[in-house]
Amino acid sequence: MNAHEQDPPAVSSPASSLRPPDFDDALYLMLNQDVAGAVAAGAYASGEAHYLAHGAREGRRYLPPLDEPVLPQGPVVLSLALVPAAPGFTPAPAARLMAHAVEALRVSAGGGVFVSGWIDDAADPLLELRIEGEGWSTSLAGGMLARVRRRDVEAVVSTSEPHGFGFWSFAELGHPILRSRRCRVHLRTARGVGVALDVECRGIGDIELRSLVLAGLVENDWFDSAWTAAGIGLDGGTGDQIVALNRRITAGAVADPVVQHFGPAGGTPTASIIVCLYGRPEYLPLQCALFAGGAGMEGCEFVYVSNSPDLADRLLRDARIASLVHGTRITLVLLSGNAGFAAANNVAMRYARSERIIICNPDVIPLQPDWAQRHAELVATLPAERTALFGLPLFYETGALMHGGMYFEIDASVLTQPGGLAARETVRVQHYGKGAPPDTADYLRARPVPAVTGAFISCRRDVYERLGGFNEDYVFGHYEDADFCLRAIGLGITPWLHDVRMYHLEGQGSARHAAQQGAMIVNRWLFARTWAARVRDGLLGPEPSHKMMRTPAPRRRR
Amino acid sequence: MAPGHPDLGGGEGAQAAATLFEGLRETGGVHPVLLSSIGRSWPALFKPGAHITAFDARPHQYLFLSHDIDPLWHRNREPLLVEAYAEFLRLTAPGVVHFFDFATFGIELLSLTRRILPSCRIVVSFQDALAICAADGSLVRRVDGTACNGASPVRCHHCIPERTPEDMFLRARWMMAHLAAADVFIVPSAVLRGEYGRFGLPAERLVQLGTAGPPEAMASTYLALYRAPA
Repeated sequence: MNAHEQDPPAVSSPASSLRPPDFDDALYLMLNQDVAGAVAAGAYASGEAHYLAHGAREGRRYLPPLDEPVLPQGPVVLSLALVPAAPGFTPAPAARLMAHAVEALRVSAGGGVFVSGWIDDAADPLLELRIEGEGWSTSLAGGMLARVRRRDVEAVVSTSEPHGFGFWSFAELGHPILRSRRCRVHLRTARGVGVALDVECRGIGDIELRSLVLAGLVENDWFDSAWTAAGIGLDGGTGDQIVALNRRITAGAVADPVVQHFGPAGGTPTASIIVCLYGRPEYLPLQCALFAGGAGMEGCEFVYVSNSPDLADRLLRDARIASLVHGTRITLVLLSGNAGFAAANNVAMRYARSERIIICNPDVIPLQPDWAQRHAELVATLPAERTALFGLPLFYETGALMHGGMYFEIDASVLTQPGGLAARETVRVQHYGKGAPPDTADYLRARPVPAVTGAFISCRRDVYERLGGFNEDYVFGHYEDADFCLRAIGLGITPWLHDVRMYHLEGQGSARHAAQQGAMIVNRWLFARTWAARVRDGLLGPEPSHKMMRTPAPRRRR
Repeated sequence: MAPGHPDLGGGEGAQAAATLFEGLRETGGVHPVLLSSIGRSWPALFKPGAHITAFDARPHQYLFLSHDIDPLWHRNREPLLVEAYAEFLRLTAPGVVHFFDFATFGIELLSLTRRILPSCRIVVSFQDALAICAADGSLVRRVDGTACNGASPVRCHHCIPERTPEDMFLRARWMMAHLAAADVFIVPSAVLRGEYGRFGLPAERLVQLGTAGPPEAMASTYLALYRAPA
């Protein structure tokens, strides 16, 4: 509202009842000249009065805007100060100062907050870390505050007992926030000792923040296996926060894609082949050429979706050429960022015109030139329940089998950490016949399987839609295919494997960077949390006992 | 379809194509067209906005203003050039398209030619083993300078480590996918005939022919090949 307008009746709201601890009246008036005018005119007693009545709700600044300050390199040990303990906590008589440092505080405008540092709290455990910014605050406590090993601190503290001096956390506030140059960080211990710090706060983009958090999962010095320890850390709430951040980034990346169509538009295709490109644009012309010309391909269309905006121009050119050379209908969906496998396929699905959807990796090519005809015959002749959702055997270029369906195993691991042992389960997704000789009949025969790889999934459009597509909670990619199939089983739809053969040129590729490895940790954690119980209920092992996994007697629809 | 033009310093392939063109031009009932690819080394010959243009006011001789060819896949990455070629085919409607080269045109032009002109005869002359060997078609191993006795994904990766075995596997299939559009392959030697046979080209489509000789003789030889039953 205009600062000179009459005060409205007092409205009770969180914003109107809070005076930020770092609020400075003179600074507020300097930043809000209209308020200064109103105060001078007597409309308000002070800047604070205006802020409490209106300013907070209106999102007015009381700190200078962020201009990306450069943080000093290395640990920053901030001055220590005792502050009054929070209400309800009585400081113990023996309370004493603890050495500590908040080393990194990063905030994204979208509402993500990352913090890391250390504290010598072996004698009086850190209970809560509260961060207050301009008009927002968040409390990180319990499982939300992951503890990690800090060997440098151990050396200084000279402790003989293993203790996680490091702390590390991430919170997704769920709403945009103002980024300011400094934030107030409160540390509170079990004995009620509170410490308040003014910490330099660096603004960061959401995508960079996601990379920072994911990399932290891998690069932190956990007490034991990062896979296990980080997984346990995610249980405390950080995992859900990372998923929420990823969801927000993904939503932005898939909003308003650029869509271009090439080639003949007439008629409804017999199949829509949806391909998510991972950054190697040459796969588009290569795959089009290697699919083209085979019997049955004349009725198919390609829908390519790109997660790499920097490749957009190249892909537009390549799609135009490929469509002209092969006479193929190609739709190109260009996203503004990396939305990951699930969201990219889901958005591409909107532009597929067929009732038969094929999800295909860019490095999958036909082993049998007439695969499309064979595929169409399966769909036309087999009972509908066997082709609602199915995969194919995939082969390496070496000739060995790469995939003959997927099954699940559960692994238990135990983590040694301060305070005792922590047990953890992970669900491992295994391919039937990985590396087996090419004609291993047991893996090639048509049969129900617990899951099929997302490198090639054929399903009816209504099945895809009923399932709501792939689960976009997974970060970048991995486990969406197994999740998709398990959800299908939950709806009574059995995944099948049918013997039409394709190559999958799955290679080692380039080394995964830390953020990708961190994403794998999140996905593994998420998959285990979601599906471990369900898998144990009849879907465990290569010969699952679930009634839907029993091979029915052969029969044809007609 | 010539890799350059002799008057612009083209090599053996350009000379052979030009000689054949000259011989065919003197043959009754045949209307040859020479399409010579030239690269950026002759910028003055590039007409703004044109992709295929006449050459030096010479009847039935054209320049294919080539650029942006991928060096591994030998793929043409310029859609305007590819579209210009398609239009050129529609306008000239040849009964035979003879590629003396694919590397400067883009190998997918073979498939495009087949799609635009389903019943034309497509002939490919190999000067080397470029379709087989990513080491400049030399079939000489870069690791030790010895003759290569058989391309394979792993052996090619060994020779060119920056490319994975999967890339090499794909390259071979990419080449074969487009070469499949051709009816006849002409090789200059028995060695290359053997190599392309092992590569997977049908033996009955591989013809060993020299590319030297007077225009009339070349025209006679190649016309017989063009007119031979499929």
